[in-house]
Amino acid sequence: MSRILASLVAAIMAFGIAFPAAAAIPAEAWDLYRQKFVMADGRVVDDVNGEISHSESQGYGLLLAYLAGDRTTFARILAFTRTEMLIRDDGLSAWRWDPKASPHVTDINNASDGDLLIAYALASAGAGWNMPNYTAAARQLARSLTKVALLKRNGEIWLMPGAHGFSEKDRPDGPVVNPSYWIFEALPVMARLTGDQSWMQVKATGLRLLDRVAKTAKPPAEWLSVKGEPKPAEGFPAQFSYNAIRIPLYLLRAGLTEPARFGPIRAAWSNGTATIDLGSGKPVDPLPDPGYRILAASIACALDGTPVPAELKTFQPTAYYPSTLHLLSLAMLAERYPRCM
Amino acid sequence: MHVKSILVTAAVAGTVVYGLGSYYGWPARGESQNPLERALAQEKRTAEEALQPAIDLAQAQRPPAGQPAPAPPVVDESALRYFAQQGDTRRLEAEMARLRALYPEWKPPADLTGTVARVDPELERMWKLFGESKLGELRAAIAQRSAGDPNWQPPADLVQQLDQAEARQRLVNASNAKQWEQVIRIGTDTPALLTCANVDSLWRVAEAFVQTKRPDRARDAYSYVLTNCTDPADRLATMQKVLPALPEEMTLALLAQERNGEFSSIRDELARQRIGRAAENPPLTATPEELRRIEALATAATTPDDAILLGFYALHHNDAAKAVTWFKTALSRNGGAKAAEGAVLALSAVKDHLQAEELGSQWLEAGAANRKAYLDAATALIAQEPPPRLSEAIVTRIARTVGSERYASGASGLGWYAYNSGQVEAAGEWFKTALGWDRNLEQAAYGLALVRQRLRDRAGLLAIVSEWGARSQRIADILRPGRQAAPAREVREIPLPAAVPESVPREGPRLPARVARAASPPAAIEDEVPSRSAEPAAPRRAASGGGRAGAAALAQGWRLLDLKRPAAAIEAFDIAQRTGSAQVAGDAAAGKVYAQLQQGLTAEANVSAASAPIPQARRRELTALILSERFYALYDAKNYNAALLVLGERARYAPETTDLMMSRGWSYFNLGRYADARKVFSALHRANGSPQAQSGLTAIDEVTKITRY
Repeated sequence: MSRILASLVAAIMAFGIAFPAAAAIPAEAWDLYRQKFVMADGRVVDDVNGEISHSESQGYGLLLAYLAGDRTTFARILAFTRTEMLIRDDGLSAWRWDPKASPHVTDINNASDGDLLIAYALASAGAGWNMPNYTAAARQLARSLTKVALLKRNGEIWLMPGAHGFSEKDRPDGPVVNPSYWIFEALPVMARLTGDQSWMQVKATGLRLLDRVAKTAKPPAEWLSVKGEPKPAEGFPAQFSYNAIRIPLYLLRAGLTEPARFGPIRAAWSNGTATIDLGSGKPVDPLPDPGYRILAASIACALDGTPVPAELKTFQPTAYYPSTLHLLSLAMLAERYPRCM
Repeated sequence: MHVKSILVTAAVAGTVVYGLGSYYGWPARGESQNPLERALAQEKRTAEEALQPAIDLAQAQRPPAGQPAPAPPVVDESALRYFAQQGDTRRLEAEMARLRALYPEWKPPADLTGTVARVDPELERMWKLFGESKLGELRAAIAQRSAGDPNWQPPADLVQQLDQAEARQRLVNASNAKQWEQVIRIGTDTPALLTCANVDSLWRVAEAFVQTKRPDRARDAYSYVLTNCTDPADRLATMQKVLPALPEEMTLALLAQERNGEFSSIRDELARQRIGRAAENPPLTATPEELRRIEALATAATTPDDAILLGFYALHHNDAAKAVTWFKTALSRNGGAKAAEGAVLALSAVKDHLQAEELGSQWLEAGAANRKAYLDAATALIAQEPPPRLSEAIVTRIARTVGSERYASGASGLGWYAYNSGQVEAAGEWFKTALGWDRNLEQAAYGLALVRQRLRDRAGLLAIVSEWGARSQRIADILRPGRQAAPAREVREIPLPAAVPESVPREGPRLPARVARAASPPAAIEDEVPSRSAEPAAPRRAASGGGRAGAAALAQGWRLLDLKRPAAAIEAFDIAQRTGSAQVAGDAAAGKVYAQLQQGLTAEANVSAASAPIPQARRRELTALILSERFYALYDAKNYNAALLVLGERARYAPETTDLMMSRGWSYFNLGRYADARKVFSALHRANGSPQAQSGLTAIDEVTKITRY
């Protein structure tokens, strides 16, 4: 007990994050998720995307395992992530792993949100479980990300989506960013790990970007060209879609509850969660899965105190992605907004 | 001391690759002697300086630093026993070597598979997971037990084995993803991995050094294998990897580590490489020893590859005859396109152009290199002086290939062939075609100048001389009185015959059929009086049954015709008609028509054709020819409507040739019938991409644009 307390104190001192004394994700919910999406070898499977894995799924798996207090599964997922995906020259993770391909890594480019999730989960586990090697690994990843993924430009510091393909050099409308790659809760952790305050500027840049987009009264597009005034990037559908729907979750998880930022998203979801065409403002695909609906319910509860419907408080796994968002939302409500549970 | 600390210390001291050396019977080597250690130690320093060192999770379950190290280790034989029970001799041996190096006093137990009871079934399960390479599950099992029992530590041995297995897998993955720096980093951080038991890892690290342009480091890694590892297959495979990867002097140095002639096949390959390089780069030569080595192999083999290699070497080292032999050997062993290409080149080089062309024509579909070889051979064939007597089929297929490949030298060659065979207009077409494909081809420009001189096309000739005079002395000389060839005679060249066989090339100007069966070539100067015997020039025209005088006169007629002496030719044909057999007489009548056409006597020719006992097929041919002539006369007189009517009539006798179609197009053009002209030019352009047709289309565009605005 004293050891756990000591770890907690160390964690709070080191990272300024509140670590739950009890697991933020109930054991039954985590078991259901784990049994469905985590393979014996530690691979986290995106079941509706051709059973592939990516650095994002591995990162989410690590973070959820940590939030569930499951060291065993954390070690399992990490073993796979490390041997199979953390193989890039720069130390970052290859973003795509396909069980049907040989070699399995079919795109060696990285995805910065996947790297950020892995580093954040490692840092959390390193501090929370007193595992210095996890912390050391988190620090190495954070340093790599600092070097590879941060772009200083016109007084802003952007988080680039990947090492290749999004810069001014790579695209006429570059730089192109993905606002849902700003996992706000992880950014101060990166700053502390690396001692580089650029990460706090990344956070500020991300928030300014969301504020500028919110002023247009439209939800943010998945991919934004920030070459000039932010606008949907060429070659991507101008939609508020599966990437961007995570933005309110990340804001709330980081305790960033400035209501104006949520306004256009809440308006777009006034008739239910859906992907939104930004030209017409109309829904494209309805998102009825509880893992999506709890996103809107969380906003309503966190900002207005509207109770979260009881059916969303229990977890049944559906597909990998909404199930992941569902558990992250439940953990957030339990940790930050306990009145909502 | 903690095992990991020992390893780290050892790594820094450069004595890490300890185990294998001692196990396989070589003493562990000091830093100054082991090149791999040197290389890795350097890489280690580099990696440490780099911003991004390797992620060190290998000891993720290790207690945090600062905690007291466990008591001095008792030798942990659990892995040894596990491998022994599993019959995993490779791992067993590696483990034994490792323990010996760590604990020099240690003696392996006599009975490894004996009844040492496991007291720890959970650990047993962990070793089982390891044996099944379920590394993620093993990590999970260790984490689970560590979490449940804070006093439990995984055996150092198990952790070390697991670290190594994971490192091996990461190294393979990074290598497959071409992440060479990462491969080197993993190797640097896991030196215990780089042993003879994991020769694949050694190879991959060596490849990473090659890929990152550090051949000396790669050499060190390969040399480590040759110095320390005994498995014959591994040793040979190592040299096979060296061969394409390292510079020759490094390869030779490594080859010196050969034991008992094990690298004979490598030496063969090295000889092949050198012969191959010398074959491509003739100033280089192979040594007689290398040549003997591969010749012996090539002779004994049933495969074509070495024969092809030697063929190209001989071809480019002044022994074309030997090259022919090797390539023919290769062809007989199904050597395929490459052997055929070589054979064509070699036959050409020994001046057996006919065989070269014949062989090459069978491999035109095999690829660009074969077509190039064929075209060179065919061009050499037709460029011979005097022009060889070729069957129509040969000339046709040469023309077809030259056309489809748009091969300017070949087109020019056909021009000269036609020119030297007296087919001046056809020659002009081919020269123009050649210049269309390569506007800087002087030999074609020269040919065209001579053609225009012969055709008394003064303006055309001046145009060429003004364009080329500064660049080509011989073209400039054409207009200089003292230097010029004998003046052209007052005769018209015979036009392109109309009756072109079906087999004529689709692309490029059509070569008149008569070129294909041209008699012995004319001398270059028209005035030269033929002095050869009057024997039949070609079998096709030989008399078959008539009197010898008639046949001789017929042959003489053709010869004079070729020499552009139509009046004399007519006399000869007259004699042949009177004295020869029926067939000779028929041939002679046709010859007379040609001769009259050559004289420009279209009307007379028409009369001759109508009255003479000419065979039906030839009559059609002649009729078409006469109508062509009439067309050109009307066309030249700018009487385009009448000219088109004649062309229409001619179409009843023979398909329209490319040049007639061109003229049809221009006739339409001159009549302002642009839509019709466009149809014709477009068809021609589609059929053979001819620049002339293109210029027709351009002209239409220009005119119609002007009209529209």
